[in-house]
Amino acid sequence: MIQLLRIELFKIFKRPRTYISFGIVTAITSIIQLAMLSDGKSFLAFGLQGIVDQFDIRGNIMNGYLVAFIILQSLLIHIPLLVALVAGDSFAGEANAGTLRLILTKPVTRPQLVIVKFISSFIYTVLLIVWLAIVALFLSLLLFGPGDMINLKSDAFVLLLRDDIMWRYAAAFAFSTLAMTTIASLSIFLSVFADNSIGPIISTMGIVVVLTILSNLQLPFFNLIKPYLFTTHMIGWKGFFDDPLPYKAIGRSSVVLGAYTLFFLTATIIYFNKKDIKS
Amino acid sequence: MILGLIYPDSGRIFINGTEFNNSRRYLLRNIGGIIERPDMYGYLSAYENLKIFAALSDKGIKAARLQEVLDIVGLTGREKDKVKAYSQGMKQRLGIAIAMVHQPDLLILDEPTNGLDPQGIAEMRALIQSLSKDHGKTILISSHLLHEVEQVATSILIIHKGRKISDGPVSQLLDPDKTLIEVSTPISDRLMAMLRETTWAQYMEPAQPGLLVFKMNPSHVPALNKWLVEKEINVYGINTKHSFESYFLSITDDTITQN
Repeated sequence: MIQLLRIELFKIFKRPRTYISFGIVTAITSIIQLAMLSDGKSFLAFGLQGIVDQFDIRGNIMNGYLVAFIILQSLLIHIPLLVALVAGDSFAGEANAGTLRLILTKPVTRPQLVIVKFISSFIYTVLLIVWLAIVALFLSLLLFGPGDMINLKSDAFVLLLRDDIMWRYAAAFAFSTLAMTTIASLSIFLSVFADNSIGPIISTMGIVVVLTILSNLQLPFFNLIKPYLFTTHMIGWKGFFDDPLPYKAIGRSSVVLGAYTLFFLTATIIYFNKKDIKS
Repeated sequence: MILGLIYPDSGRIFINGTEFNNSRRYLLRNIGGIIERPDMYGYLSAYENLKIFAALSDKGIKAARLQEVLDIVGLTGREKDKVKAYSQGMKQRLGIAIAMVHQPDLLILDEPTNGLDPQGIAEMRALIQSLSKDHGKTILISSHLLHEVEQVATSILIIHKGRKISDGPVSQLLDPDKTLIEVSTPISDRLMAMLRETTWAQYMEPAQPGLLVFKMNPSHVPALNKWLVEKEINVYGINTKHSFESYFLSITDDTITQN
């Protein structure tokens, strides 16, 4: 199993496509950081226009913590796509290249292969999130410096003291890893049905976009199904920037995401175990 | 199906007396295969591909064995090149290397000459013969290229419409006395009458337009040709159909008729 995992990771990180995701994350964060460097003050003035009359806000407001928070909010759709690029390719890409057949003529069991593909996609996801943390958080801190962070919500604003923020980011990144692992497991599940990787990647994104829209629609019918959609819970990381911390909501979101991941993984193993491999 | 990629609708598969489903991992450690085409990771080098599949075989294969196999298939010196830059013949040879790197007892090669040019086909044929004779491998070849099969096989099994219709050693199945000889010549009543009065009549098959057909040993062809010339019959060509091909056609025709 360890040998198989090493081989999977070797294949993933030997492929140039893998590094496109890291490049895209770097490019998007750099663009946002440059925009904030050049025009951050007017952006902040616009954001705070409703509260500057009531509060006297001073200090380094446009700091690295806030910029990182803005970056993370804007990457809500992009990161799932980058995860799907690798996870969606896991089986479909091998089927397209014909190497899936060759692997399965070796003494490897099918459930083993699914689990190893899942673990390797998880490791890739962790590395992508770590990279995101480096470029979005640490680079922003380097460029903008630290400070107290203002979290503007639709009905309130939360002020977090600078010494109370770093652990929140650590928890938020850990939660994001769980959310992205759910996306990876969905992509892998879709990947076993396809013979080329475009299908599962686009299908994953289609599902994420549609469910995200449903999660955000303020209609009574959709309110009934929202708690059961994984997309509703993917934004649970924002809870770590609330005060007081919504422990229950974060815990519930973690359980839902974990359950979806387990469901997709189990369904993949069951289907793949019965599938005739013709390509 | 033998390699466990497709599940049978019914029945069981035994390899050397061991049922496949019960001992899949054990059996696959001792089987190597290429299915239709040698698929591998184009973005990796031949050596990396070989190393990956050697590791998957779960036999703790050392680097020296990888080099040895590359030598056998004639890829030494090109092992660091990316596979996407390989010709079809080189990929096919690398496929063989992957199939045999873990020293399996049985090699299963599905259409091993697929997509190869004539030189590649000849090289592949020589490699298969060498693997059998010099390295003692049992090789199971699945192919539609009857002439190629005839040149390398010692035993043949014919499957037609999903059913086994014939099997046995080549020497028993392919009787050279049953080789089809086709003579291109204008067919006339005079010619047919002359032939019926000679010993050639015993070898004759029903004639086709512009074609006399004999079922006999190819060693008789010079004598037949000489007789035709002496009788001032214009001969435009003589075609010896391979015995396996004629055997295959005859046996599958019979099966079609029976069905």
